[in-house]
Amino acid sequence: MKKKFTSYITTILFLTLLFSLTIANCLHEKVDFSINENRSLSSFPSLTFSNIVQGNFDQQFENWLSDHFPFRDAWIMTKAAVKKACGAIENNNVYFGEDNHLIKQELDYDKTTIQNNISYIQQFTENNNIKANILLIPDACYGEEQLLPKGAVNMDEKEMIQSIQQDLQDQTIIDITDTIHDTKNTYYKTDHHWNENGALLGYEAICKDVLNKKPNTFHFQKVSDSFQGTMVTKSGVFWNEADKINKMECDIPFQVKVTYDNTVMKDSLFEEDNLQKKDQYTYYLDGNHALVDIKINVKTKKKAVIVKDSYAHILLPYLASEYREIQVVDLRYYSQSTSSLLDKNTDFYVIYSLESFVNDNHLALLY
Amino acid sequence: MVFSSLTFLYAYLPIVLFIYYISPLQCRNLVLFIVSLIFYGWSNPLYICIMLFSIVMNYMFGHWIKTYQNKAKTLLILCIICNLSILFFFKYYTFVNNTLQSSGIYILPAVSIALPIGISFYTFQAMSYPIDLYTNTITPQKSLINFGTYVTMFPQLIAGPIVRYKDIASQLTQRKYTLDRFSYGIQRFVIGLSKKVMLANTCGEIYESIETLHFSETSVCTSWIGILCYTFQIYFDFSGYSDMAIGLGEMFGFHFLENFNYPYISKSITEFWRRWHISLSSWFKDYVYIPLGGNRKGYKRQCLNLFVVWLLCGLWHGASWNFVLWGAFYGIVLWIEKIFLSKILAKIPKVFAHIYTMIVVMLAWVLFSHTDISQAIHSISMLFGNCPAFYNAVTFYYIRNNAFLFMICFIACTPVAKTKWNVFKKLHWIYPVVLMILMILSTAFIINGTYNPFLYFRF
Repeated sequence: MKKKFTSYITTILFLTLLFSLTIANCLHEKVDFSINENRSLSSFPSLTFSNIVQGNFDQQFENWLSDHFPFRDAWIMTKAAVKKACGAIENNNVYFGEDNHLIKQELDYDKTTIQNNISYIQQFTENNNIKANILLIPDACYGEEQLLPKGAVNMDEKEMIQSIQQDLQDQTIIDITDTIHDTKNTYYKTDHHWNENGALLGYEAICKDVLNKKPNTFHFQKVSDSFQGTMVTKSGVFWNEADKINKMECDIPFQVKVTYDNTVMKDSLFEEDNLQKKDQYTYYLDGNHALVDIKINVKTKKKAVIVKDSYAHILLPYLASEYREIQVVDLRYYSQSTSSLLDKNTDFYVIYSLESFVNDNHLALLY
Repeated sequence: MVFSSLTFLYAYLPIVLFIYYISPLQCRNLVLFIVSLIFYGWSNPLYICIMLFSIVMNYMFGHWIKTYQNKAKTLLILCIICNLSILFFFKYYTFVNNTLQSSGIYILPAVSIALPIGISFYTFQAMSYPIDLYTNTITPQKSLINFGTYVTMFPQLIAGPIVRYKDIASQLTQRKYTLDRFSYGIQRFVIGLSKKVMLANTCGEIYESIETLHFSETSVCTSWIGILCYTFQIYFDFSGYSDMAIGLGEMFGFHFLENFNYPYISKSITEFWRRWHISLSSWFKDYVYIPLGGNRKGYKRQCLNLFVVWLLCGLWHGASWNFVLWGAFYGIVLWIEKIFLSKILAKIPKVFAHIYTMIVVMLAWVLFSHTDISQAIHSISMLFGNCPAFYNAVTFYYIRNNAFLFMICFIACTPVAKTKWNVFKKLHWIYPVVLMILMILSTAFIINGTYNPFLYFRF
């Protein structure tokens, strides 16, 4: 009797789960873009003869089903919870760090990309007869090494940064490897970027190594406390608290005119509207643009041209206090000549996170 | 299509269950035949033609063998040649051609052939029918649909177990559907799915990541962890698939024989092969070893037979030299056990016999996992010290991060759940709940596997 009852319950539960998810799948509203994952979701595969015969349909259908599966995020979170409950120290290559920090696991790198990137910079500076100011920002797994869970492995990023700096001896090196490693709270807890404290260290180092002056003082104003960054998305961790976004204000106020991609004009380095979006880091300089031109009412002749990845965005509110104009180039989108932006009063910067520098091959477009 | 996909779980299976159970009894074989063909053709419909050809051919040969009794032997030989030719062409042609070309012989034209999935399984399965008819162990199947259902039946189509016609002949015409069997099927299926998705895939990822470590990060202990993960992966993958097949079989009213019987608790390699992929080893025993004379034609002949069987068995697993080597390795070990080792193993403390068996099995998996033999040799040398360190931080990372997983895998390799140590045994109500949790978690793992957030920028 007992056995019969168990069979009954098993069968009913299984069939209910199977059919309800299948039906939910059919009724579920399909969207084209996942804000959470920041990518276009796959569309229904084409039912053409050639597509089926070539064997593409199978995989495309599976991808489509998976991309549009009901409660997709909840499933991802479930898996994260299982990993955590089983005592793992990471999920989807993101460490569960101390103090609620989510830290991306050590980076992959490609030796030829590193060598190429070094030679692109050397080439460019030789051709233009300038010195580049190089700032490489370590990733959180080095910068916040003290917060890694026990048992985490970590590549020696310091050694790697030093060897790159060695090869770039002719340039001016801005080195924050040790300071950012020894200072607490320099990266977001939920995102892979450094935060306003980390960027401040970067700014101070620039003042010391490039500008030879005392840094201006800034104070922070909290504009959001609901930032759930990329590491939350990637890891599926839903039990951590959100990050704060801070606005930096210089004690010597200045005005800016920001032009994005030669079209859109703004009079702030901060984009308030983006605080309503998923990726609140775009509050700083409105995320990725090919070319951002910033004109500042600071009394100086000096101008800066910055070739960078997204780590530089949060540094610019500080740096803006030092130049009359800054042009920010993202080589992933910018295909024109960078050297035409230079003049004799220009400081030329290359500002990258180590992870982009060792993997991104867009520096090839620097000319 | 594979069982551990969303397509199967949340599209194919519910639809097929529905259609199957609303069909009248006499149509169910036809329904099963058609949906199985869809299952098989899902990844590439062209392969259905090869399969249909194989079905019709073996059906016809079976018919002829019965009709022309006096020419039965010639017909049987012809039938075997035809079957093996198809298998050879699709599975081994490229391999043979490459081997010939690497020794400087260019007689065969280069043809690019994609391996039709499951061809090794269904060829063996279909072929057993005319052979059994010849040896009079079965009676002929009149209906082509029924025979087609037997060969194509989707639960066991892609990865076994290899079902023999005689084991299933009566079920093709008469099946019993009971609630207990259906729920037993669910249980086997969900457990198999969990083994595949949560254990095998996770262990597989660890193995992959260890394989791709930079040499400076490797160590002897990490290499052992790597091969341990592969050992877990291949067992849970394969036995999980067999569990799912058996479970689905029960859901559709069929009873298949067990394919795995806790192979990793064996105390010798001879025992291991009685517990590992049972349907394959017994197929080779009944259709190759015994027809060759088995152990009835003297000691020398027996050794030769053993060796032939193991070379073929190796080759069956894949068209590459490492599989031949893998088969030969087992042939030799089994031969050594036969002449003296098994007597010693029976006397020494059990624990040493277990350790011996697992080390041999794991070393064999190294051969199995590398199609490039020099790479396999390098991997084996790493296990015995050819590394920059004995252990390092990376080793601790893998242990720290996966200790629980390894513990579960370890327990799941043993029949502990069937013994008195299983404290849940008496709590009947807990089973349905556990099964549902496993099903939900497996789904989460499958979806996570396709999860690919694009974090930095969108081009």
